[in-house]
Amino acid sequence: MENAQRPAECLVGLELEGGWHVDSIRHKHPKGTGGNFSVGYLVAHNDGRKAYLKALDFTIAFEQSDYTRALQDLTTAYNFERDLLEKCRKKRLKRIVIPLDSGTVEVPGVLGPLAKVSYIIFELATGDIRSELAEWQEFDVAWALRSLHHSTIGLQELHNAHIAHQDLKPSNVLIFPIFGSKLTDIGRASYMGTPSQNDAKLIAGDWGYAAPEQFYGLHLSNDFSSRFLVDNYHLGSLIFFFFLDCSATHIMRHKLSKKHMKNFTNTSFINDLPYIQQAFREALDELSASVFAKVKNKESSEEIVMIAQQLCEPAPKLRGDPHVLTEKHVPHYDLQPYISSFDKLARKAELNIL
Amino acid sequence: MSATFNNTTRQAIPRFLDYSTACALGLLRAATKHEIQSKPEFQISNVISKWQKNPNIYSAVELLAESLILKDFQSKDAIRAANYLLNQSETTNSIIKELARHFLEQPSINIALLLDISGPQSRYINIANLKKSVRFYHRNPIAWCDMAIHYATLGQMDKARTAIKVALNLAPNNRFILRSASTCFLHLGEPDRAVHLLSRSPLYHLDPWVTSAGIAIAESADLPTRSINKAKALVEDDNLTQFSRSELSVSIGTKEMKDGAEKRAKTYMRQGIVEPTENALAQAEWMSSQLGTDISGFSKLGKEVPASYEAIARHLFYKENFKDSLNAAKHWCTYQPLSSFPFIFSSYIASACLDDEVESVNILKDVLPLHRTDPDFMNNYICGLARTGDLEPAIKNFVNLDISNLTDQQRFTLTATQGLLCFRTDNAKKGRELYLEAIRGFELMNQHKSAAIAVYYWAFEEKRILSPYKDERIKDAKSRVARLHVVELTNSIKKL
Repeated sequence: MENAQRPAECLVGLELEGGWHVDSIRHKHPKGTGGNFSVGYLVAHNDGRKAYLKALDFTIAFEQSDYTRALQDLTTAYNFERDLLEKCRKKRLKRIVIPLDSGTVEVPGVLGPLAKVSYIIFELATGDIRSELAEWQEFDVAWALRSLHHSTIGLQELHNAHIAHQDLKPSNVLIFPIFGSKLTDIGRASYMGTPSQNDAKLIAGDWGYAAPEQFYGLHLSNDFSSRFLVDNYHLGSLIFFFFLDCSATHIMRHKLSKKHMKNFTNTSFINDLPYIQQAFREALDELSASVFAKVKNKESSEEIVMIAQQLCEPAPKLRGDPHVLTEKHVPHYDLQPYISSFDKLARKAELNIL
Repeated sequence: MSATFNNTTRQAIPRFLDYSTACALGLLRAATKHEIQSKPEFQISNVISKWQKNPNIYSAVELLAESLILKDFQSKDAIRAANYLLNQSETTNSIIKELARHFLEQPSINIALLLDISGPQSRYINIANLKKSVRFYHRNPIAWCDMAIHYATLGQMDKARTAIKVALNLAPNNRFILRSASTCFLHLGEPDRAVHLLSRSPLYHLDPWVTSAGIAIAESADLPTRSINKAKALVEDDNLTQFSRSELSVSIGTKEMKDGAEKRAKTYMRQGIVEPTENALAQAEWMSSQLGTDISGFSKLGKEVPASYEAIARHLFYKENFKDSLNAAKHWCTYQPLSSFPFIFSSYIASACLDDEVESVNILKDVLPLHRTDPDFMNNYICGLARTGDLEPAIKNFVNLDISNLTDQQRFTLTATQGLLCFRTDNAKKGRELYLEAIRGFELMNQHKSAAIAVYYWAFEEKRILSPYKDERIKDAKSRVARLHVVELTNSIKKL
């Protein structure tokens, strides 16, 4: 099927249920969320609210040789994401981008069941972390720390709801004018107790942001907490992104590749861990240099680097706050200490005493 | 007399290398031919399309990093992304530019990296940096291991032991740590501990690098070699790279040679040099000298295999090209400062083959604190000092030598050196007695070559003092050197 004929790309001008009107196409996202083909639109409500619409195109399934299987995969993924979002909405997770509406619209001029396009409408963000950073003339420590604070709360909310995000990266932290940062795109998530297609994937999220153990399949164990620990790594990786413009994984893989003459070979996690730890140590040196240049207060700089070190620790069993790791009655992936730390640091920065 | 280097035995014991050097030499690569890694094809096309639609720093970095993970260094888009990052303004983070430069560069082994010509001062600085590093991130076993190497090279063995123990506790099942720790324990005089460490590791039956280290160290210390049949199976396993099997092949070959199975030894030796490490090549070169064969295409291998200083030094020595052999041996000394053997070998060539005692002393004096307890090393140093006229330190060092635990070979060598010292202190009579005792001892041990070398040094002393016995001794020395074909002395004997 030619791209121009895809029903999901023909929604501009349509009136949707609930008083929404599709204004303009924003982007095509081939094989985006969970492997789905999605198209983004700007929509407006009758009451003047603007929002973002994600339209799912199931016609891509018919391009596959085993189209029944592909169709099943697409619908399962879509329903899984929609159900998760509904759970988030019911639990009133404040730092997660919650759908405002969802439904199906029939595209005129297309015959048969394919004419119906499923969509989800989200709050409209001003952009993501990357677009925000791209506009900065000068590094805004307070903003970065507040965004990290919000992201940590979002992740903690998901974990408390037994959801592992698994794809936390800068483009999945959206910025809202009043509410600050919120996490989005849970199409790669796993939900404790409910099997999904993402569970069996070696790396459910983006490879460029994957935690070290994900390259070895360690997170695929029966212990669901290993997925939460992957999220914690991604959170720590955001610190690297803010201060170095690239993820912890990017730097570590670069350091490994450089040391091993462009030929670092994966063996087993236990064997490779020391090399990864060495690369991590070098990555921390880079981070320290950048943080110390941007944050003048030595104590606060050290705290930021220490948080990154604890969250991105390559050995998953040792990842996290040392006090939490030794605590019997608190899950070792608990992020509460970091919520407090980021809040404290952000406040200091906002008061210009950082 | 100058101690001969012991050419009768050699094992492919792992080198005690720092992490950077081990990485550069490829010693930490996967042993299996096919790396287990699924390629997320859909995703790489995704980052390419993101980069093509919106070329900016972030999309460029994402594309580069994913190409790096997949080792797709030929990707045109990724190359464009790397150039894009390099052409960005100064404000772009240095790490990103470093990533782009690394992506575009051709990897090449930095020879200077392999030859640690830094003095003790820089080792102290390295230790200070590593200490700082582990204070900040104490879980890094590589830093502890590198620290152990620096301590050991400075002769601070207790600190080396502590550091390597920490590294082992942090990473008990890592090839690099296991091999480094076993070599460290061997240097600390605990070969049984080294063998135990290796043989109890789950990697012992899986990773040819670990198996090879276990066999080589056990053989060198006359300890029982475990699971030799499983080791042979590993050598036959074609799922493993030839490179990873090279040291194991020559280690098994050496054992076969020791057991008298020369044909099998040759087979293993040949297999070991299909794609050898420098250590395997050196071992094969030594084996070929013992087996009376030549390694075909050695010159090519010597050039291709990085850091093959020992192999080249040995090869040139066997070919009687002593000057070039000494040059290669000096590189070997800087590459392996922790081992006394390259220094003994180099000083022997300088002294016996090239008759250059000043050079011999210079080679040894810089690393004297590290090898002060090695009798062969000290013998050559004392001999060099005495022959250059520096008698006082020579006698002082000789008196301070620990002679409680010597082999017969070492005992007779030192007896001959004592004879030399007597000659130099105008006590020719005692000197003759001692030389005679040493020569008889060597003969009783069937070490006729060593006896011939002792006779040469004795004759040299008789000639120096113009004694009435000089003609008789010179005649004897010439006769022995010719009869036993002591090639090392071919040039020196002519000057007598």
